Amino acid sequence: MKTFRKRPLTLLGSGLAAFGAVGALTLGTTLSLFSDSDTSAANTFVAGTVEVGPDGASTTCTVGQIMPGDSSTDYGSGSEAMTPCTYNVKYTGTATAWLAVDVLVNGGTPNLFTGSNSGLQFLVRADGATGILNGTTYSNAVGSPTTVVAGTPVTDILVSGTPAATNDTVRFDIDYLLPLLAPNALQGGTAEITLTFHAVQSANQPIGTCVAGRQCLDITWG
Amino acid sequence: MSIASTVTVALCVVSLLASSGAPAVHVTDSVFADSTASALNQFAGASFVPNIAPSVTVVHGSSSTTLTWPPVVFTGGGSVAYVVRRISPNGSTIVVCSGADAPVLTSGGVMGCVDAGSGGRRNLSYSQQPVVLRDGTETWSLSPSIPRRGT
Repeated sequence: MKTFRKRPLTLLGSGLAAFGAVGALTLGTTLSLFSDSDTSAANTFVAGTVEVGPDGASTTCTVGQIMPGDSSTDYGSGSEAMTPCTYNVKYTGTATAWLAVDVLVNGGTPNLFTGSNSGLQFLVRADGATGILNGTTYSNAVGSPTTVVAGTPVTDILVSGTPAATNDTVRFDIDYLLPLLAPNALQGGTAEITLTFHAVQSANQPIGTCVAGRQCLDITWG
Repeated sequence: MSIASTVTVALCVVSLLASSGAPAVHVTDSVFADSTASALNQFAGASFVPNIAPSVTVVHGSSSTTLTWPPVVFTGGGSVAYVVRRISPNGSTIVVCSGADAPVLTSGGVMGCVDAGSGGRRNLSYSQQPVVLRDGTETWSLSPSIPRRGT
């Protein structure tokens, strides 16, 4: 029994020795080549930025007890005795950018903003020139006056046909009027308006058919 | 499993992974953008206090009728005028207390006027309606008060 168990071990030992000898032969071969390398200068990539923010003081309206015939100074009719709301913003990104504004009008019960000529009217202008809202309407992509619906945001009204550069500023003025023909049903009503100013890179984004003061659908606003 | 079949399986797995990842790369469509919102600009309409026109107290004299009622305030700050109506038993109405006879705030703190054309008739009723005038135009008003007869 003992002799029978020893024989396979001896054979295995012989096999390992043989493999070891072959391995020694392989390791013993020297593989050396002449070589050299060179590295280019560092190629640096810095992404541009697109950033907007408030610019100095803005005037937030909290107009109480408005009555028919009341309006702000630059509305063009009515009492023109009240203070307009202003919203100053600055573009601070390093990349040139398209600028647009969204407008949201909301109201309580009753809602002073009825979307008709007898409810609260808003005149929203950018830099005193570009019309954003005119009474109760905005210009859609093809320039047609479109009625603002309370609670539904008006989006992507292009502020300028020229891309903004770093430190460009925009002043939004919100003038308002409650017409003399406002119905009794609006007594004690409320309304509110918010502007959202936004920017998107102009590089690789042609302006297409977009026009300042109209809703712009040819640009991806992000 | 032979070495050849193992390699084949591995290549298939790599191929599958690559094909499943490809669409995610191609749908990337991002632009640099930023936004900032204004504060909420709020507007609140004026109203009358109280918001229901007070009833008229009617006191008949021998040839005229004296009318009084609590004043109404308009929160918008404008002055409130009152349209006073005389209502006959047949339902016809006529505006009274206008012009020189317009209602005034009495020393007792109530609005008052005298209907000199009533003849002291006791079957007449009266109502008053607060209105706000702006540049001569009637703007907001309350519904007329409930008609009242005198004592």
